[in-house]
Amino acid sequence: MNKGKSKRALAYGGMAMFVLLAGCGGNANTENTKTNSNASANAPTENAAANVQEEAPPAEKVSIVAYAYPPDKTAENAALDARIKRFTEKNPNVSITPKYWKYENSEIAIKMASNSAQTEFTTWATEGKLLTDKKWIADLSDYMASWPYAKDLNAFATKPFVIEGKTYGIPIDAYGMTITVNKKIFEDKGVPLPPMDWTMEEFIEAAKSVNDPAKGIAGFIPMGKGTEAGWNWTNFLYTAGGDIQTVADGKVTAAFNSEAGLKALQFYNDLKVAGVIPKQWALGYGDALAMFNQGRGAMVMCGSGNALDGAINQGGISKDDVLIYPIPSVSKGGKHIGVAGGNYKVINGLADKAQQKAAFDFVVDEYFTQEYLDAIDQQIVDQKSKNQVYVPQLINYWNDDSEYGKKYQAVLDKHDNVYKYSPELIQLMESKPEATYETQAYYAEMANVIQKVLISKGDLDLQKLLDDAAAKVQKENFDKVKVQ
Amino acid sequence: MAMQVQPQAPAKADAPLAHASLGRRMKKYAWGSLFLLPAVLIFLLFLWVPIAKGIGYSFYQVDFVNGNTFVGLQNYQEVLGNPDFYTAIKNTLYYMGLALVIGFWVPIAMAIGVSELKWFRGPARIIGYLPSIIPAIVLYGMWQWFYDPIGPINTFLNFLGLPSFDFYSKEHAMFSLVILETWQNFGSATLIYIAGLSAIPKDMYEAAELDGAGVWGRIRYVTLPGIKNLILLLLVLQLISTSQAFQSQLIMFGGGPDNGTLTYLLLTTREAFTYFNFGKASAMGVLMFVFLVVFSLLTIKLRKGDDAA
Repeated sequence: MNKGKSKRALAYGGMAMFVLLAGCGGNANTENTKTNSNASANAPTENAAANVQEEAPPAEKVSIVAYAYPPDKTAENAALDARIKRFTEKNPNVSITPKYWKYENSEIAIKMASNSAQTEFTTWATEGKLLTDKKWIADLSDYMASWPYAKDLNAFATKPFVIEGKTYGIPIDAYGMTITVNKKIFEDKGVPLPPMDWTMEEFIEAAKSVNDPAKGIAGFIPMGKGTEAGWNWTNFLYTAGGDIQTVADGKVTAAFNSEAGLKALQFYNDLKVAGVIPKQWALGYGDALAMFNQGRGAMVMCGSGNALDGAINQGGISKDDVLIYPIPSVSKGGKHIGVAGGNYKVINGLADKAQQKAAFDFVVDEYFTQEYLDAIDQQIVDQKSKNQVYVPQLINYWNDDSEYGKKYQAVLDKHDNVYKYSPELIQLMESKPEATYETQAYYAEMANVIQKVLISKGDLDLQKLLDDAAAKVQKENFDKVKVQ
Repeated sequence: MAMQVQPQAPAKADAPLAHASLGRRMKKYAWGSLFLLPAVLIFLLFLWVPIAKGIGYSFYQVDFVNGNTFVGLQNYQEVLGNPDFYTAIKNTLYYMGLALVIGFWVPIAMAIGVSELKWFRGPARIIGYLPSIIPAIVLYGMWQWFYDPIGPINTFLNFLGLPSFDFYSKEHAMFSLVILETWQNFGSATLIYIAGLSAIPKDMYEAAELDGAGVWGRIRYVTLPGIKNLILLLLVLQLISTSQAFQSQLIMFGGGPDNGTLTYLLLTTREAFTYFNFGKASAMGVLMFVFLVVFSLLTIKLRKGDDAA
């Protein structure tokens, strides 16, 4: 082995290691910045040329990363590609790369630490406070001020992302929590469907009448694993008139151990005593919906459109065999309040100003336009070719009674593969946003309480369970909140 | 003064020699070092640096985007003041104990059984190892079905006229996980034991047989002493790995019911990824690290004592 070869080998080894390390450090938004730096580096030459021709300097080149769908969602990704093409034709200085990463609250911290989230991404209604507190999403107030359609947005849908007077997210759609009912299970048992204006008592009776443990069919499938357990239960807390927390004089106080909380927990206990819930309590969001889709439960609680979409398009249940009911009220004629939720577009707080502006422009580019309606129309046609049903959300970013809302309704009315909600449901159901502070900690603590109820074999002091949970969340979470 | 001069003279005289020797040594080990370099760098980047950073983070309120704030020992105080911390330790110790009682002997028995086979030794090894190659997502889906009230186990129990077994109760949840984990992991340990068994000289078995030893005699007086060190090594490795268990606890039960399967590492991940308290999670990691270092040192010391005896 000669000296030259050794040196070359060392040099190649070093280079390989450098490339490896450089690869480890790459991320979406640095890439964007690099493009901008290149653009800046080229700027003098371009400007010089512009001066010679006495034309306006070309707009600064901006690269952004857009939120894409999973690879198997071919129709949605094709629609996104077409939208990107339309946008970049109008804005040739912007280049857009679609990238798939679905928002998860267990992953967002890592995504932000590595600056690898998309420049614009979709998140949930619950996340507004968390994302703004951490400064992970940008304040869009200035952009909204100059966007002519901002005033046409549905105020209810926008609310979760208006924080301390500033707007941080643009609604895509919103929903209220409801009960999805497998009508076929009721029909097979010869049991009449409960009234839409039902009470908790009627809910238990309906669950009892279709419950069939020998066949593995539960009357109702509550979520019992993870923070979903607390989220599910909160619907009954709300419908009983309760609240998660109160905020006064800069202090957050636990309020879920109220009389309403006790009623809601008593309801879960009654469900368990009646034996109408699955014995395997460890069901997360996906587990509960999968069980419902398999026909192993007559009722499940979820966002109005989400369980429907899965049951019809993945579970293969006919759209005529699933119904949406509001959360049952405590007494006849009472309120049917569910937790409000929805999907929102937010802009990455780590992106630079030019990227944020480009991302905002891209997100709202086709809002309130015919192109958006055409895209929905195309999606419905595509779904029909696959024997699928389009499940619209109950609440959209526009107001239903607006001109645009009527145009949207006209698109839906053209097709027979669109799910139609009962008008009575829309009249009865009410939605209430989640708590602002430390909601996940509250859900996690309530999950323990709910599990205690679901697995208990004897009598439980429900009020004590709630009081203990409230004291713990108060001490460990709420007392540490600094209300601004 | 003379004493100071004297040692310097030979050092000066030896310097070119030492230099030459160092050069020779560098030349000799250049290629080896080059091949080691990537491994060292990868270990440094992905293991030692994170360990050092984790220790540092445990004294900060961590905010990856907006900057960290030094909080001294506050994270440790909060961790030690959290009642779930003690529940998690208790659960982890319970899980480690159950895994020892239920699972530790299985690969030993399997390896001895396979090595005693006259035929089908190869297929038996493959069958034993198969569960280890099942992807986690399939594994958990499969065991959720096995443990279902109308799943195959309970259907079989009912067929025999026995009552259903509640795999999801607080009393049985950890036991259910140990069964699942043992089923999935015993194959790889079995292969290690089989390799250990093949190192025992054949003539020892022949001698034992000549002395009238039967199957049990051979196992007791030849096989088990022959793999004693291997058993001790795998015991230590199992204790370390079960002390860090969280995957099946998270996926199957989410740490429930009522924190019944909340292990130490699951609580750590919950602090980090549910509550975003990376500082507290790091403090928990440091405490675990200290425990494992002490445990490992203790084991090494005990083994040294054992070897000396």
